[in-house]
Amino acid sequence: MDRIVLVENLNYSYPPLVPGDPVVDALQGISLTVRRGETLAVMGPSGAGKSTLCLALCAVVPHSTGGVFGGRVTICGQDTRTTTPAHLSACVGVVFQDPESQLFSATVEDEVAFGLESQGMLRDDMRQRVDWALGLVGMSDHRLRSPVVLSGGQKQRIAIAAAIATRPDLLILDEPTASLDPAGALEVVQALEGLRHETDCAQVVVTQDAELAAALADRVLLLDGGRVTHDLPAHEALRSPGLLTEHALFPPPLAVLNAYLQARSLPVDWRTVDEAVAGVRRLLGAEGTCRRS
Amino acid sequence: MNGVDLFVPGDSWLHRADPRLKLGLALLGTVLLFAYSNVWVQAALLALLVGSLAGCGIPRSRLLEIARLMLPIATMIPLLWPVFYQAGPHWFTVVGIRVTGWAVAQGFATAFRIVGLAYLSAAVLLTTDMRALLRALVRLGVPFEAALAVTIGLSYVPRIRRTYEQVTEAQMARGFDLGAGGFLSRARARVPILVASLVSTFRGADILARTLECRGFGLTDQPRSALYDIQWRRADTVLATVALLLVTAALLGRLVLGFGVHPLHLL
Amino acid sequence: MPPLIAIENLHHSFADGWDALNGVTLRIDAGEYTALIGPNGSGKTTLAKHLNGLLKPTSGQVLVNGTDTREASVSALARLVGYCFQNPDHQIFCASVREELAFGPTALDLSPGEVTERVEAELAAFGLAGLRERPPAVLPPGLRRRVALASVLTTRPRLLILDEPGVGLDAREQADVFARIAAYNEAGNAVLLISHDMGAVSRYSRRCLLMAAGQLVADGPPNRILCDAGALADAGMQPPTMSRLSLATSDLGLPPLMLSPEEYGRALLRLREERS
Repeated sequence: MDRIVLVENLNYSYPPLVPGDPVVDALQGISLTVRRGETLAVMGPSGAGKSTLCLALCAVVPHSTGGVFGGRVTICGQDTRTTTPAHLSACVGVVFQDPESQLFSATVEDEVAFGLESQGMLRDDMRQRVDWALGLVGMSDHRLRSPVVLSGGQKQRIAIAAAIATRPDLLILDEPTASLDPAGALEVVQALEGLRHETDCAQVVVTQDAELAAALADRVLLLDGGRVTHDLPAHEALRSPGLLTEHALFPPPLAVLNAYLQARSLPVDWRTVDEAVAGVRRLLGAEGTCRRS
Repeated sequence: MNGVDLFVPGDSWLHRADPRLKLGLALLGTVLLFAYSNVWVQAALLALLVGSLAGCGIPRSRLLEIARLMLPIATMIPLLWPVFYQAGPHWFTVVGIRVTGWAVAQGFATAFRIVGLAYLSAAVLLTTDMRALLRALVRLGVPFEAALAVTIGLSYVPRIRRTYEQVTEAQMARGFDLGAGGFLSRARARVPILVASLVSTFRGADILARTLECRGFGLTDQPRSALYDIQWRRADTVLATVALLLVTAALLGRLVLGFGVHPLHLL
Repeated sequence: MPPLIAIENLHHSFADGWDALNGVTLRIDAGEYTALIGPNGSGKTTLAKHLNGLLKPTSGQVLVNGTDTREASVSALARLVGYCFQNPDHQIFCASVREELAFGPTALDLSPGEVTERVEAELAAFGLAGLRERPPAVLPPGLRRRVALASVLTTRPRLLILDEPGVGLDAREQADVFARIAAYNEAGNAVLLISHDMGAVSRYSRRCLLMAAGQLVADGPPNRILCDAGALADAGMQPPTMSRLSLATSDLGLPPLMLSPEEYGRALLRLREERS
């Protein structure tokens, strides 16, 4: 099956928190497709519905949240209105934002094996799978440690290993680096890049970090006010500082530099620091005197 | 603060014993503690219990922590007992209350018993990690969902304590004076901290619930497997037999001979 | 003029033996906007907690407005130093936004009239007036953070400490929060910003302190510190993208400072013109 995620005209509103509050539409008329092997970055301002969309893709919406659900979401060929999150867990893995709250087992290997135990996998097969998942995220040396003593970046990597252990067709990550320091965020990005090479699962990553999206995404979905405003190839979206700023996102610094110079008749399109350095040297007629950044 | 939960890693006979055996021993220990009313027997049982734990590598600081927790109640009971029980040979009188040797003995016996019960419950958690406890509960027939709830709940205790400490700091930084005023105003001062701690904990619990669901918690299509399992060994059978024999002997002594019934005299 | 904060050879060791601070000497004057950066475990939060007395020195001295923190209670120091913690949910507990904002000044024994005045001022400054009767706990995360910050500002501290104020907020919300903080600073109050966000540090602060392994390893203008590859590397940190660009092209006449993309573009074009 190639089309892992099919969202057709999804509308959703949460039940009001305080009775008597007006009902707010979290998602309106969302339609999108994600294919096997594709990574989709979902970006937008706070309250745009990014997290709600993640929850809709793993059937937590509407099963655990109630509310009013319209339209259809088909994940791995299953309609989420009739499939519970637990039943969907064989083909969907989810990583949430807060590393502290999503780890609960006594040891790292128990944490990674939990989803496999739910599927009733045999012990030897589970051991192999746990090894594979831990190896993918670079945490093989921490099998018997308690997750509580790990750093933020390590915790998120364990959460990722736990989510991919069942070899899901879809991996959903809701702002995986938002609570992390730069070193931890880098660990997570490297783990996710490694994942892209080793598996062909579809990935949906919610993030506010344009540089993370640039490193991982094939496509970018921009949301605002519960609606899809743009569905673009990643390189197009991330090189438009105006578009990103409109959606309350910080554009990558090089994209801003490119836009500044392009507006002054210099058609540059530098994607990495090295490209920019070479380009600057060329502009100043200082080619040949190379200096590594 | 190093304790990630109550568990202290070690390699003693108690650590290696099957957790089901440990739960059984705790139950037998409880029976023993309630069987006797004699102050010397209770003191001996308590000393034996604490000594065994120390011998198993539980650090003194941990043992003292438990004692400190029980200290208020352990001092109140012997002090108040003579007020309510005045049988036996008169010792002395204080503030019009007739204090007898029997009353003091009973008071201390009860105090030792309560402290002993605290150490008994701690003993299981100090020497058993959560993954072993979880398997033990499941193998004993507890439904997985309930067993997981118990073990996650236990491991959340230090987390909740940490949240409470962080919230206390945050509130103190707002000018909150926790130490001022009488008991009532200080208790009332704790309310915002409790509220903020509870709300934080509930938010985390919500995310945990979703994570569990998304990892297949509650699936009944196939029986749940386990990566880690406990093994009942021959040593456990030996220990269980010895324990049962000892307890039977002790109970016979108490029921037939009346050993340890009287608060002060052994027979 | 005596400094607002004077720290002399501060050492702090925790009960489990961890030496979090190994000899920090620092002076912060009234009205400064200082950023405190460094990797996890470098002692940033530990240092900050000494400034309002939550932690007392193992050795060395911390003077806040001339008062030794060892001789003052946290609640007394809270009149001078406001601390906005990283997790706003650790501070929020009231039944309405208005009560939350009123909590601080009420605890400081201000008159009800003064309290109301300050609450209204912050409600207006943060755009929270329409939400005054809502329970803060049910608001979305961005608003909760604004409520937490507003509730610290109503105590009008002379030093405002912020621990990662931008986490969880989108670019627009961050801009609003930092604008409010800048306004507070312009009114003559000192700000200490603890942040991993190099962009925010370079955009808003005027002084940057780099910490590593419990010591202050650099102290200077943010754009210079954030471009000091050596010091950052020693601290185990990566220079931000624009710093890497400046460093690699500094031999061509571009300034070896962290510049915003616009500033860099301007400097580049100017150089290009000069050369042609």
